[in-house]
Amino acid sequence: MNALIQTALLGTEKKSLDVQSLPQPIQELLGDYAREDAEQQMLQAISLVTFFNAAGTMPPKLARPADENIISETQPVAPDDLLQLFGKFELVEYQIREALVSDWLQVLAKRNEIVSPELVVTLIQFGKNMTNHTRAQITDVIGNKGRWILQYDASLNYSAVTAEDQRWNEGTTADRKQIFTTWRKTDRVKAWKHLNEVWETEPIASKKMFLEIIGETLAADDIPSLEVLYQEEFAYRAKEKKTEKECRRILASMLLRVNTTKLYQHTTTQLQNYVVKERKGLLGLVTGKEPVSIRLPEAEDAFWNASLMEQQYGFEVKTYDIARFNTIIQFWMAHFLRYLPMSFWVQAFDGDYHRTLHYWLTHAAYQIKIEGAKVSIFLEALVDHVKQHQDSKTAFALITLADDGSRPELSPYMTLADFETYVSQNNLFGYEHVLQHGPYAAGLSWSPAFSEKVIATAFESAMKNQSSAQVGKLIAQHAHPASLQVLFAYNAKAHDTVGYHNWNTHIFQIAQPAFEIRAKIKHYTN
Amino acid sequence: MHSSVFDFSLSAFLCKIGLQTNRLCLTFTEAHTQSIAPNPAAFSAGKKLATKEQWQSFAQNERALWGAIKGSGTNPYLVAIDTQVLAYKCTCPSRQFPCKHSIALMLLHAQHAALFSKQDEPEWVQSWLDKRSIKEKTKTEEPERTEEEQEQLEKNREKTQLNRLAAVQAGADELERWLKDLVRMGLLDLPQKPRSDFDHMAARMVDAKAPGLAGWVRQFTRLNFEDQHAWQQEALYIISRLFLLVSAIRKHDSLTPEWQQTIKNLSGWSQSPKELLADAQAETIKDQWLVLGQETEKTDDDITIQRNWLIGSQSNRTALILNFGTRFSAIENTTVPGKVLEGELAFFPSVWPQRAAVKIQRRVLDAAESRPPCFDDWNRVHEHHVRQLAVYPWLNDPVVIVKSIRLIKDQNGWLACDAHQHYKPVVKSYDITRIMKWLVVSGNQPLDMAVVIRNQFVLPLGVFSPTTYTLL
Repeated sequence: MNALIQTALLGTEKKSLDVQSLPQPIQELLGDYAREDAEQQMLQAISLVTFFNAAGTMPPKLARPADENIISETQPVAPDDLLQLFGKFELVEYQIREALVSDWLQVLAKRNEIVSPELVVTLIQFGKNMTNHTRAQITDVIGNKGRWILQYDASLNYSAVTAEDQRWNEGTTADRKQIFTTWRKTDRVKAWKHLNEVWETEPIASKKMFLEIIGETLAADDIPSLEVLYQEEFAYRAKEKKTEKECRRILASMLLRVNTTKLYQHTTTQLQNYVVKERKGLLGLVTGKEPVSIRLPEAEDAFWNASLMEQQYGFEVKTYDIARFNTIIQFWMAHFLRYLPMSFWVQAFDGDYHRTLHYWLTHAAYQIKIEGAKVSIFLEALVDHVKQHQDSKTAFALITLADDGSRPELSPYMTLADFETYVSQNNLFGYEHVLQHGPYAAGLSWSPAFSEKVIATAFESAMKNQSSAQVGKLIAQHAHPASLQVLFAYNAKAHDTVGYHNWNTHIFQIAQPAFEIRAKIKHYTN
Repeated sequence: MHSSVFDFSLSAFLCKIGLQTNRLCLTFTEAHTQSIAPNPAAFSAGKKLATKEQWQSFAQNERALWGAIKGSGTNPYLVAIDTQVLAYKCTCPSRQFPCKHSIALMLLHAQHAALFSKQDEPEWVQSWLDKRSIKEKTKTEEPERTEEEQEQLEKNREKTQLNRLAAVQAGADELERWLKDLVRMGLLDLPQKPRSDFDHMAARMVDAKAPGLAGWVRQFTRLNFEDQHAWQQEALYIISRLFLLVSAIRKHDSLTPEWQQTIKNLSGWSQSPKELLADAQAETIKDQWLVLGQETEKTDDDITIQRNWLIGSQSNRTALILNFGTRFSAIENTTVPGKVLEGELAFFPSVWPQRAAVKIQRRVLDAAESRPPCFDDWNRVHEHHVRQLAVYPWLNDPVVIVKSIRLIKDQNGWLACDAHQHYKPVVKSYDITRIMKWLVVSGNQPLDMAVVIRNQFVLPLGVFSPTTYTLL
């Protein structure tokens, strides 16, 4: 057979076909064509040999026995009605799709049910580009067979979920940041265990990154480990790197947030020295409370001095924002406002929360003019305080100062009830930049009355051709499931109006599928 | 033909008087509806409309689904689906077929079948269904001609055929010379040959009115020269079949009429389903035809070819239904993969008749009454295949069902392995998603599998698990 291939490759001009080397039956058949020319004979030989081979080559046998392990399911399949929701996800805007998918997966996992075999592959493919968290949820509901098939296609990207430990040890900084953040939110013990294992070998930049993540999810059981780091590894040294000092500041900021730490107690004791209660004036006579002020020194003293601020707190001591702060002491004070719990200051102001906040925001000594308006030099510090302490009361107080919704970054820290009050009082139902920053982290939805009002406002805007798809998305994500009928009612009302196209395109078509899915998920979670 | 129409009318009549209470013949799933949709955009648009709130009304009976949906106009669009033979009607102006409203109605039924109340069909649905049955009856009837006209027509046809045959035979002579040059110079030159050489020869074959030969020549341009062993074998395979065909064309006049027709088909004579369905002599088989699978391919000429492989559950005959689409005419899809078409197929004449057209479609079913038999293992398939090759050497893409097949991952790809550990490699282009579907359905349990044999590879279409057929 090799002779035929050699002649075919080289050509009959260079190498004539050795007929004798071909199988006997083919030789006999070719004998009939002996009078033909060399190329004709070659073509005939190729044809005969090809079919001869095709007929005579039996299917090959495996060199090793195949894996005969049978995979079976141990969990029940979810009801059709719940599974059918999956088909609706692709109708939902992609920005809000993953959150809905995650909610749906959570319902399945809670019910200890899996998707039907027909859905397994589609679901795996669907989740391919979603976050690790969602992909981990998917692996929980695809059953034993689904998990078994993941090994066969590395491009599915599910290995990241199954080999989280490996990614922690070998992954990129971004990978490790993401994994550590997830652990901090789901299993702090595991997070500390893994961090302790690698801490000694981590570069200083990574250490700073991990401390910042801990700061975002700080809990009381973190404090002992943080105090050790603060007192030992990041204690002040004459020759230290800038990042080491920053690590000390991050550690100090965390320790100042918890009133049982030594640093908190030491610091608040020092700060008490600057709380001045004056003799009762007119205000005191009315309220029965003595006027309180925090007297910051004009020049450095035993507490407010660069070396102490740097060594104990890791604060910057050379440069600060001179446009905002008259003295560096005010700049350091901003840090304490940022890190210490509001309860400390409120206590100083005789337990009066509003008086405390009023003082920091309006005291003449702490005002600057920005674009003609008087602004407290501590406003940004207080906004940071809200974020660090998840302080919903201060968030509400600060945001109500700006009744035009110009502080939307504070909204996520409010309670949902406060948020709805704020929006209702200021009639901000049509302001998408306000609505989109609500306190939705826990998957909360608006109250039915609030939802109805937002839908009604969206309808009115659509009738004036002023609506935007963003509002449709917000309704899709946050409207109360019980308000679905309200949406349909407005949709019916919109028919045959000039604003129908606008309503349908920007609001109804966007909100309805997600809204419906959420309503059904809610039904299964109740 | 007549009996079918009679059955159809009788069924409707019995329905009307309430004596027949059959459930709906066909149940739609999202996957089936997707396979019928003309394109993904139409399916996606249909999905958006598949909520009950968007429909003003919807209902069903044993013959059809129908509904009314608000569109951009004043009046709602009226949508109906003939569920017995799978046909669609919608009053919307869309040129897509089925349109998004028809798709939406099928999806709505897939999700909320229980919400579809059983009603007498409204007048517009009834008249459409009745018109369809009349059209079905008359569509294959030839126009009446006088004897003279008929004689003249046949003379003209014969002359055209003779002229074309002469042109094709001249083309075959030229192609044989080209093949001889190829083997004289040697195949080692093939990787260096510019594609234009093959395109030029293919164009010459088109000029010779033999587009089939042109297609064979173009196969040389698809050789993968990266894989040295494979391309050499593949080139020899193309040459062998092409040479055999060229030799057969030259001997056309000495062949039997059946062979002559077969050779013409291979050379590129177009086969008209319309003529086939009108031909009283054509071979026809009544059966419950399970649609084993479907493959769609787009050619360089922007033509979409859809291949549907079927098997008769009683006759065990396999059939290939080809549909063609262009940019201007979408494929009209009435064969739903995984479903059973009860009716009569007409086969194009050939020494190994495979290509068929639907002559009578009585209804579409979810499952056949009996399961087609299958081969015990790859060795039995091989024996069968060799017998087929002996009759018809250009055998292409035959479909078989093989017992207890398991898909196994090998370093070079996936293998379809039988109970005796013999295997056939799965085509390289086979989508991993379909492999995964097999893995999920089977859990590594061997299942009877329908496959297309494509050269030395197989293209898995679906599995029986154990009695229901699941598409891969």
